[in-house]
Amino acid sequence: MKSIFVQPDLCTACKTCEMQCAIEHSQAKNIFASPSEKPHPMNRVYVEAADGRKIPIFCRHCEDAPCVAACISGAMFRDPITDAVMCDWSRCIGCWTCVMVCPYGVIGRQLELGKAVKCDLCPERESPACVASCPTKALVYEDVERFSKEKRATFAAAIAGG
Amino acid sequence: MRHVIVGVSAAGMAAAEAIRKRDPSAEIVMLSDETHPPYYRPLIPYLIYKEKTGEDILRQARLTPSNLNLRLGVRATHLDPKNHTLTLGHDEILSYDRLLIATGASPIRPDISGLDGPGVFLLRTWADAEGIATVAKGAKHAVILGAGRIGMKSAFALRHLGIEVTIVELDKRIVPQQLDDESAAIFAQAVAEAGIKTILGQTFKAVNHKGKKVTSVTLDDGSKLKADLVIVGVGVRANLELAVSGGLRVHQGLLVDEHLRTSDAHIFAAGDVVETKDIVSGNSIVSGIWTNAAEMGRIAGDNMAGGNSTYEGAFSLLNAMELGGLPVVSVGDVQALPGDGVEVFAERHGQAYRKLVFRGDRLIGLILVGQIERAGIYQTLIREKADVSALRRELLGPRFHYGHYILSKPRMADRYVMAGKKN
Repeated sequence: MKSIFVQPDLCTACKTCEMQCAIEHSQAKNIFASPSEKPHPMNRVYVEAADGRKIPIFCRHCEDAPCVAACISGAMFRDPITDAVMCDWSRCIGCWTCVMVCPYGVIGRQLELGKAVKCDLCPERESPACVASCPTKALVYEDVERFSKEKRATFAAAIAGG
Repeated sequence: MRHVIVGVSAAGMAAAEAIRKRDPSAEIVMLSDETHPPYYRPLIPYLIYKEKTGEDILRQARLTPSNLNLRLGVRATHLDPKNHTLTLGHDEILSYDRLLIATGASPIRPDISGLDGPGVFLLRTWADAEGIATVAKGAKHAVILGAGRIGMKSAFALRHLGIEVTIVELDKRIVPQQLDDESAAIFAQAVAEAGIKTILGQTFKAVNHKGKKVTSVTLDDGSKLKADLVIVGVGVRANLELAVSGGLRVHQGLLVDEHLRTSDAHIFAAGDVVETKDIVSGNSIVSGIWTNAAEMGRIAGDNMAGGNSTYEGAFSLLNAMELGGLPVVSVGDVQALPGDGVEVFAERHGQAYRKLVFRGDRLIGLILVGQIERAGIYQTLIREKADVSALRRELLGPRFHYGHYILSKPRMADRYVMAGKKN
């Protein structure tokens, strides 16, 4: 099973991932046409900065996902094929309980529709749009097993270290 | 191993899922005294104005564990812990190896003259919502007692149908538990703009009927409001009858240990029926909140199937909603007053409001109105009882994000680099 990994030391905060995410989740899927669409296409990944570090922030598709457990309308669910946590807009009532419980703060609000917006791992693509478009390869889409613990620890040090 | 779960709402279903995850072959029997299949209770106000049909509020198969023996319209009337049995209805005996009591809560029916007459409703079940929808068809004036969540949701639902709606609330503000005075004032404006009248500081003295119809409501001060439909939403109390019949220890709710086990080793409890401790204050509470119920269910279910999960306690306040197009998130202790180690930060810009309550180095309460993005990170800090002294400046700013949070927790950074499907 594949997952998105972050190598924060390689991130330059160019925000290409944010833009390509929004385009991928638009109707036209085109950088010229998508921005003028209604409802407005939204990104589901976020690049933030803190303490001089660049920090891409992603949905983890948590194993015991708080958004799925807390959803009061049955909109949040885990896709049995991709294992991604998804929001079914036909069920979402815009109560924002998911926004209240997401520990990563990665569930947005589509205000025109009153629906929760989150990462779906781009089910129609081989590699999510954010990963495929990252010019510095700060984002990696790899098999969980292959992404060794040591490698993760190195990246962790890049964030945690002074 | 036969697991029996009494109650099929948030807690019961989360427990069934946790049991199934640990034990794919366990027998799971679920009992509901309602005849409808499992549904999302918070959605019943949508049935009043038919924005949703019954089908739209049912729990879908993708969120229901496999191989449940679901028995609807069955009431567990007696518990015999010594023999590990339940009595169903009058005489059927059902044995269990592990039992979960997730019987929930029922609306409080205040002692007011005429409240048990026709045209007066409590709103807790699908059947209640259908009853209201039927009477609402011919109604022109509705009066609602209680400006809590149920009262407000009902008010907006009836207003959608073009009915004149008045809400009567004993407190000095609307949604008194979830809002403070400032945020309630913001919502009061939205409620007024929706054409809903509000009368504060009053309650019902009597509900008046003529024949089989409600005609008016008399308030404390003697004034009368025309009414052909009355809804009462003044809170709930735990359904303890089954637990009491088995001699389990109860107080305001069913008492449990940190594994959500009752005073009987084979019987667990979860959801609105449980008395647990407030994660913020440590006080004893019966919560009645969906999110708490789902978490308790997951933990109780895991323990029933042989796990060793610990429950840290419930939030006395953990609510998100949108009313009149305005979103609000309220978490923890939002009413604490400044002084005695408590600091309150509040700022309002038009319809946007942010309030953070600190006690010493901890964040203990949050209200966000309008801009509610990333509320979950604040909620996490409150839940973790985290020392936020180093984060104070970021927390008070409008752009507090997960990057700030993770940098304050070096030990969690390893988890941060993996944005995987399973972490």
